[in-house]
This record gives sequence, structure tokens and C-alpha cells, in this order.
Amino acid sequence: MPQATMLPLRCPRCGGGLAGASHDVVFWCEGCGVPQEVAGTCFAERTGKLARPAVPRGDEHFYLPVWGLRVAYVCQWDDPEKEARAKLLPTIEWVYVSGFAIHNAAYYGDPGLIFTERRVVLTPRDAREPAAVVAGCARSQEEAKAFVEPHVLTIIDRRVDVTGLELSASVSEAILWGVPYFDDGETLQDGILGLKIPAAAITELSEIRSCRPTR
Amino acid sequence: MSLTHVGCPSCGGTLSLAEGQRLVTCRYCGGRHLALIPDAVPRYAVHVAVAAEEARRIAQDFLRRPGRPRAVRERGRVQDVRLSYVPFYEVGGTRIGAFVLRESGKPRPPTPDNPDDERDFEQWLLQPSTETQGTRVIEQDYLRVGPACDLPELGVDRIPLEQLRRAATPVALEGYDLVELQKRAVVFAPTKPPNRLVDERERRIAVRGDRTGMVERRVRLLYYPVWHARYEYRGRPFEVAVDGVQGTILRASAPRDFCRAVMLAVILLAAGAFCFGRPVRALFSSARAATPTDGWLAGAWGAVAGLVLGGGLALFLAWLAWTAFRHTDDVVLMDGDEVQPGAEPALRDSGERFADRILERLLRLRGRAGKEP
Repeated sequence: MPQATMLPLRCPRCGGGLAGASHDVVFWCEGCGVPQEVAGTCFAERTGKLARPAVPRGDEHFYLPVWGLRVAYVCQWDDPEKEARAKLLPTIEWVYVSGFAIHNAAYYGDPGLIFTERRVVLTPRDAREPAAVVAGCARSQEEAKAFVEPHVLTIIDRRVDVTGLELSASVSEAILWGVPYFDDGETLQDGILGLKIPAAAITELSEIRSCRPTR
Repeated sequence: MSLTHVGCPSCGGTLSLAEGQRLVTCRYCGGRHLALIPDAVPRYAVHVAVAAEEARRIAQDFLRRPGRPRAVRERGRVQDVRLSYVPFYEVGGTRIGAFVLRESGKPRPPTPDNPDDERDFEQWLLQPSTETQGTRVIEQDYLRVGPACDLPELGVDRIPLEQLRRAATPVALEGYDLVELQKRAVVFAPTKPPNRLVDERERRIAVRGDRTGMVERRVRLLYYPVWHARYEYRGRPFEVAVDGVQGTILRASAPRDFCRAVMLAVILLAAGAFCFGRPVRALFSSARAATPTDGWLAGAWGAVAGLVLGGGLALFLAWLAWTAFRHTDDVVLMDGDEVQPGAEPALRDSGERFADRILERLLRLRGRAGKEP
């Protein structure tokens, strides 16, 4: 086995414990609630918020990570007709990229892509809400940024043929959202749009289920 | 089990890391630590959906099926059920981006119901096909699964993990804790590198206008549960491998029905005697008839030659039967309720092994003969 470097799971900001599953790269602090991403052999602080369920349900839920990236993009079309049609599409302000490991996302429906397409705007939850499990993030911020242009292109392509389109996008803000999910056993239902995904498609679910509520 | 010992960065105590472990708690200071190991392959265990008792029942049902010797059907009992984990590589990634797709074609042909339409149809035939160009945006997952060791060595031939991972309801994965797994199962170590699967992932036909790229290339090790049920028949152990996820029989060995073996041997001997005896008898009886004085000699020599050749043939057949039925296990691959001896690769393998054994013995005999002074 190659030489291992040990990194204490302690928050550099407050000294609290960091919670996450075995193969996560972003861990949430149990004390101050700030996500910390593994960057080389230290932690880098990220902005994190827990979203309020838009579809409230009485039962317990946990939070799965979704990157929210505020984007500004410029489209250059070689066809004025296509450009005119594309201008009718509402602008995408936030691109969401799932932060948890989902198996065969294209088949089961990538929550990040669906949130982006539906122009979801997440609002932070009330601080007085009871503590819940917050899952760590398996996708780093840089890895999430790789999905910005494909997500925007996919959404435009569903309305206008993107042949000849030159797209350039820049990310101005990145927030790691904890999106509420309700565990129905065989399926998980998100608390924002009410979409269901098979529980078995979430790679780290058994570890998440065994965690205790932290925030 | 290989353990790596590293010093705790908080208290200096010794931390023991099992293979594949990434999170570790120090038993001295209680601090949790993350092990950063370059090129470490994440490991997961596939959830065991079939309990030990269920696996025992499936194996017991197998013994009751027709084709097994009567003693096995009536008195065969599974004595022991053990769990093992078989390693598989799962190589994946996500291809994202856009590519240009050129398609050439014609509009739908008109249906020639009347003469006017027929002219239209002729014009349609002469019309050249038009080429259209469109851009396709893709966000597509790539997935390949392959065994990380030789499956036949572990008592199974084929495990359909790739189909299960691609299925509408994928198999659930669990965290890999080698210490915990080894308490209840035998965990086989990977013996093959994932090179072939990784190379396949990177292979791509170059096309013009391809602006796609593979992101999040990943290699994982998945450990698949297999139950091994053991039973004995006339002092010899046999095994039934039961899929720990689907509950099907992956591979099973059972003694062959002795009556069938005897019948087969008798038929072979009869066929041999019929094919060989008649021409020899005809040959020597014709010699006796031609020269009456030498006929007796010819007959005696014929009898001796017949005895030697016939005895040799009988001995060869006896040796063949002994080799074939000495280990009377009949490897049967189960597909649902169907038992198809001879159709499955395991049995073909045993046939090949048998041919190899004959060849090996012949070569050994030749070698021995060559060494003699």
C-alpha cells in the first residue's frame, strides 16, 4: 500500500468534528455547519446552506449535497433565426450539479440537471428546525464546474438545435446546498420538487442511513 | 489481511488501516482521521439480499431435483453454508459535451396507389439523398464491470453483476469494512489489474466535430456475495454456489447417477464388440477356408490376436470409464429450473480437462519410454 497521509477530521474554523461518508471529498462541520473540502493535504472552506423543503412532510428527512453555481453565459449563434428563438428561453441563473454519488444519473434522472431545467431557487431553512443527517459530498467544487456548460447546452438543446452555438460560461458564486430528501425505503423523494429516485442508485446511502443527526 | 500502521497526527498513537479503509478512529484519543492514499481504489460490498437460511433452502432444493442419485434426493442434507465475497472491478466515467452528427436520407417515399403517385415514386427514386447536420449534446454514463480474479478458481463460472448494475433497480452497495466482512465471510483479494477495462473506457472512434470528454473517471472494487453450501455423498464433498443477491444457483456439483454410468459403459462395450468382432471373425474365417491345413494355425493365431486386441480394447474402455467416473461429479449450471448437462461451459471445461489429462498421460508415457536406456 502506498504511503498514507492522515488528515484529522477537525474543522479548521471551529475545531468541531467533520461528518461525511468514506469516499466523500467535502465534509460538513458538526459545530459551525461550514462545509470543508479536501484540497491536497488540508481543508478548504466552502459556502454551504441547508435548503428548506418546499414540499413539507411530517416525517424525518436527511440532506443530500447539491452544488448551486451562479452562472453568467454568453451564446454566439451563427444562425440569426436560432438566436432569436434562443432569446425567448428564460435565462439560467443557477446551475445545479448533484454532489452525491448517483449511479447511472442519466437513466434515473440527475436531480442537478432537473433542478437547473426547472429554474429552482433554493431558500435556506429555518435555524430552529430539528437536527437532521447531512451527507458529505462526493464531488468537489472543481468537478462540479465541469458540468456547467453541458447542463446549459442540454437545456438549450431541448428547445433549439445548438449546431453552430459557441457558449462560454463563467461561475461567479458556488454554494453547496443540503437538499432535503425523504427516505421511503425503496425510493427517496426530494423535498423541493417531489421527484423520486431509487434508493439503491445512491452509492453511499447505507453509510448515510447509519449516521446520526448532526445539524 | 494486510494492515498499514501509521501514526495518529493528534496523539502519536498507532492507527491501523485495513486495505480500502479511508476513515479511521484513533483508539487512544478518539479522533477521526481521513487517510489520503494516492491511487487508492474505493471499495464497496454488494448488499446480501439472500440470508444464510434461504441459501441453505435453495441448495437443499437443488439436491431434490431429478437427475440426482436417489440417495442424494432422499437423504442428502446440506451440512454447511458459508459466505464469500468475490471482487469485481467497476470502471466508469461520464462523457459530457457535444458532437456533430451527420445524417443522410430521403423523405418518406410516396405510396404508389395510382399512376400519378407512381410518377412521384419514380421521381423520389431519382432524387438524391440530402445530408443533414445536427449537434447532439450528451451527458452519458459509461459503465463496465469485470471480475478482478479468476472466477472458476473461486467455485463460480459467471456472475451477472454488470447486468445487475445496469438494471432498472440496481443492486445496492454498502460500505466496505474488511474487518467486519471477514468476521462473517471469506473475502477474496483481487488478483487481476483493471487495465483491460480501463483501456476499453478510453477507446473511442475519432469523429469530426467531437467536443466530448470523459470526466470523473473512476475505478471501484465491488465485492459480490456468494453462498457456498456443502454436502457429502459417500464420503466425498460436493458444493452448491448460490447467488447472494438473486438467490439463483451459480454453479453446483453433484454425483452422477451410477445406473446411467453403467448403462453407458455397457452400450459402449457392446458397440465396440459389434464393430470390432465381426470384421476380425470374417478375416480369419476366410483364411481358414482357403487353406485347410493352415486353417487351425490361422484360427489359433486369430483367437490370440482377437484376445489381445479385444482385451486391449476392453482394458482401454475400462480405463476410460474409470477416468470418467472415478470423480463422479457432474457440474451442472442452473438456469432457473432448467438443468442442461453438457450445454454449459463448466461441463465443456471438464471435458477439456479430461482431454488434457489424456494428452498429459500420453506425453508422460512417451517421456518415460524416451528415458529408458
